[in-house]
Amino acid sequence: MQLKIENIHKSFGSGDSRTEVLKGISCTVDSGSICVLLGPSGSGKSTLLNIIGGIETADEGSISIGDDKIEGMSEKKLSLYRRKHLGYVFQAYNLVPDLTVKENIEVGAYLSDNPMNIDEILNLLGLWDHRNKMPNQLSGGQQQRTSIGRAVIKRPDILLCDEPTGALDYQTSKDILKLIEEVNRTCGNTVVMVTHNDALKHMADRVIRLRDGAVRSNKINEAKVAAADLDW
Amino acid sequence: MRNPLYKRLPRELKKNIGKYLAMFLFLTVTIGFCSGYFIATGSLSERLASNYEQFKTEDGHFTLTAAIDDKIKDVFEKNDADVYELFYKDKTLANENVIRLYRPRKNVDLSEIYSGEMPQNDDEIVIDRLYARNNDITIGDKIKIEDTEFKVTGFFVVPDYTSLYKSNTDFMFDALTFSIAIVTDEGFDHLSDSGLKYNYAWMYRNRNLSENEKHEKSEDIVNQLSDEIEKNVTEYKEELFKAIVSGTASYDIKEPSVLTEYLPSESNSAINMATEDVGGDKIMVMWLLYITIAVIALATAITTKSTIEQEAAVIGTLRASGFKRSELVSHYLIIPLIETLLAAVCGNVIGYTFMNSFCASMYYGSYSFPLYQPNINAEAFLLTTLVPAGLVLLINFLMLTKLIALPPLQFLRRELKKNKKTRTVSLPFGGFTSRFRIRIILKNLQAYLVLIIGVFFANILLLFSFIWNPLLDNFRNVILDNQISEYQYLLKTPTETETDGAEKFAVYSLKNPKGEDITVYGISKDSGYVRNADFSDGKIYYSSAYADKYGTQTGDTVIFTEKFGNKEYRLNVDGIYDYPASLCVFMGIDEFRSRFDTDDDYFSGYFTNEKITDIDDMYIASVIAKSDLTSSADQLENSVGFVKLFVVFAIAVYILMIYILAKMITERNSRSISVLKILGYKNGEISSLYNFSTGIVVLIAMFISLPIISWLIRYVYYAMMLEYNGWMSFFIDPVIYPQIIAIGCGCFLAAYLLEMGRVRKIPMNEAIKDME
Repeated sequence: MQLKIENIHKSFGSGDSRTEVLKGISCTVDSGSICVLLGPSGSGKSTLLNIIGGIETADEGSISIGDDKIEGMSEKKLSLYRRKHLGYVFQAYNLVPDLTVKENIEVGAYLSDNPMNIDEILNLLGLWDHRNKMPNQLSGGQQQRTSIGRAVIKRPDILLCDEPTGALDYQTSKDILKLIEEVNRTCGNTVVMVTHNDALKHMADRVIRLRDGAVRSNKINEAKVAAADLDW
Repeated sequence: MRNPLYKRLPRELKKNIGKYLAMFLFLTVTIGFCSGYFIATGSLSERLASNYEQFKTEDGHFTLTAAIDDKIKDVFEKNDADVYELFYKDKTLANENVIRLYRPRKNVDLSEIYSGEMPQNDDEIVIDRLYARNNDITIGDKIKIEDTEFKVTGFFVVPDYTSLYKSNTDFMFDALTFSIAIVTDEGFDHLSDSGLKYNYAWMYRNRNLSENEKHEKSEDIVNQLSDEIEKNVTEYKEELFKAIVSGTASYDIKEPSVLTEYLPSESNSAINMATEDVGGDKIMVMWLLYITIAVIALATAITTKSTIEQEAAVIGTLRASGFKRSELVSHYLIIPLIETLLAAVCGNVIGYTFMNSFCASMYYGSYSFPLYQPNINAEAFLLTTLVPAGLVLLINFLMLTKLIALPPLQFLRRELKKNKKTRTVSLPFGGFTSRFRIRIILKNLQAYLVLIIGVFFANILLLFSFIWNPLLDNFRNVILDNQISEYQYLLKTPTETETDGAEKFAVYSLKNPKGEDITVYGISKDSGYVRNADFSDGKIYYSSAYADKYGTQTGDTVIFTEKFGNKEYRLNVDGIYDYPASLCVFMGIDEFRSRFDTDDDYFSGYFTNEKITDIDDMYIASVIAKSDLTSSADQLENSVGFVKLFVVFAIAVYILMIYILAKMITERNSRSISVLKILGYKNGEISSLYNFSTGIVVLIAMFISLPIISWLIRYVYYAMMLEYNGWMSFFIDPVIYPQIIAIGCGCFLAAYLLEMGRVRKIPMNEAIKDME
């Protein structure tokens, strides 16, 4: 499903301490594509991701996924919007500590009327052998795989990834990126990934660069490479 | 699909089994006790209520100085009431105990055999079950009354003596030295008439009158009776005068019957005390239950809040993924709710199986109730299941909805406080350790506030259970130190004695503005017994008990009325006489004779330190000895024995609260504890930093709460005592305070040791893990 971002403004603070973090961001992400949001710290990329995710509100502008606009939605409707359209992957995994790998993924499945088959997901993520382990028995990469499984099992239209490899080593990061790519190919979700790792732009269909709350560049990546071939 | 988060619940239970088990057991025992209590009191109340119809409880009784005449009977007839003879004879046994003997009852206040059988022969007797228990009397034993040895054939109960009040003006019932008894008609007649009372009970023909209607009728009756008796007395005086003037003999002129007691059942403590006590205690137990549940619910809410703080990022992720607030609220609500419901079910099972008998036995130790039969009680279920569950649900729901209402982003950023920038409190004083501990207290202020509430509640229970014995001992000592004389003899008619040191006094009974019976003493000139009081110029002194109860001060004036009439007496307060035993007023005997219009040589009895042996028993109405003055304290001591159970309960509250909250604080700070370990701190040092802070709070809570609770209990005590006849001064033995502090410290130490173990178990890599 297509993601449309129109004239998003966002400020924090008030009076003299007011800081405008997003200054009229507009862009479109095509259905089923991978979009990488790049930018230095404080550029506003995470804030934009949060606004797309409906967990932060924009002061101005609108976000649309297909025919659904989140502008003016109540908290209840926002929950349903997130439930229906979005999958979230965070840098810190945020798994439920008392649930096994399989159960953590079931948490995502619970949110959908038509979830994917959990065994297939476990196999896809390479977690079949670890399905009955608790999060504290897993490596960082395995935890992130689980969190991706939790996000994609409900067939979200858009998968939002906030620095998904930020806490991982090089090889594990590559494994996770391969997985995101595979999920995108297999499930057809639109992926929006926030990162400060410039190398990731090569695996994207679209690369949007932010600086000081504004879009510095918004390009289609004509020379897309597979995640496996990334290097940094 | 079932919410997979529910799969966490058994693991959460297993992980914190100690906490949940302790809370579950505590709730189960509390609910079990309360459920048993409500079943017992509900069953007893139902049984007592059925007495009115089933055992024909009187609507009132009255006592005359002679047998009833037709004119008095007519008064009741006019008021649609039947009057029944209920004569009794008070007999003093060799051990100074008093037995009140009745004939078998046929029409009113019917008796029910508790065990054994009713007397068949002239030398057989049934007595009160409680008195028998208190005096180790069993069926088959013999009781000597006058010259007859009566064989005890059974124990019985009657609806007009569910509590054994010898006199309605007594401060407390007395099942230790007083009993009622039934003997056969022949057995009754065979005994001498000393102590015989012409007592009559009445019953309204319409047994469905409301309490108000009964009250109005009884007011009408007493007014009509007073008029009738006054007429009789006037006629008698006129006849007597005529006889004296005409010089004819006056022996044939019958002395009129005078009313000495008139007691509608609504004012009869022997009938109502038990019912009121059962009802009054029920409210207390209900509050005990709800405060306990509220404290537990608060502790649960605080620990849940701590869990949510620890799981903030997970919750943020779930919310960002589309989990609704309600789904998360219900997830965190489910364990406390299920735990409470399960405890309620188990508690009710305990309540129905054996706790109700245990609770009933507490009342059977004070009152003469009929045989106990537990009934199914819907109210008990409501009070001990639905209300506690509702309370836990409400408190946790309010906390959770407020917390979970925060936006997902705040959870993701772990910013769960309203004010993101908490102002740092500057601590320029003290060493590192002190400042560290203060910081821990400030950081966990909410948890410590709940702990303070718990300590406050536990201390209420401790103080309440500890005050009684010293208070009653103090009362006994004060009474004995200030008693007027060893014996007070009340005579039926003025009779002279040669007993050494016996001093005449006059006595009259009046009602004070609150309707309480007050004894007015007329004291002889230069009294050797009531010293330190100057009765010249008609001066009047009030007993210290009266002043204490009603706040009366020198210079006040109190308007008293006659017990059975409307005549008013304005009595000034010229001084307070140190006499804590009873509510009374002292004046000179001449002032007394003049105010109450008696003969110039009138007197009612003697103060004496020696027993009077030269006055026949038939002229003696009653004797007040040491044991009579202290009997109320003895009985009360016997009745409040069960409050000692509160100590166990309070200790459980103490340990549970300290344990749960200290555990929560340790877990919340596990990362910091881990860091301290990495830095080289020993387990003992870490424990002393974190757990000692809890100890400081416990101590502060104790020192703050004890004076407040003392004031509160004093206030409640005074309010409670105002409802009773008589007075017992309030007293808290200072020794109680260190005892309570010692218990608090002991409980803290127990929890401290448990927490030390927990600190020891926190691994050093905890800090590293979290930062991955």
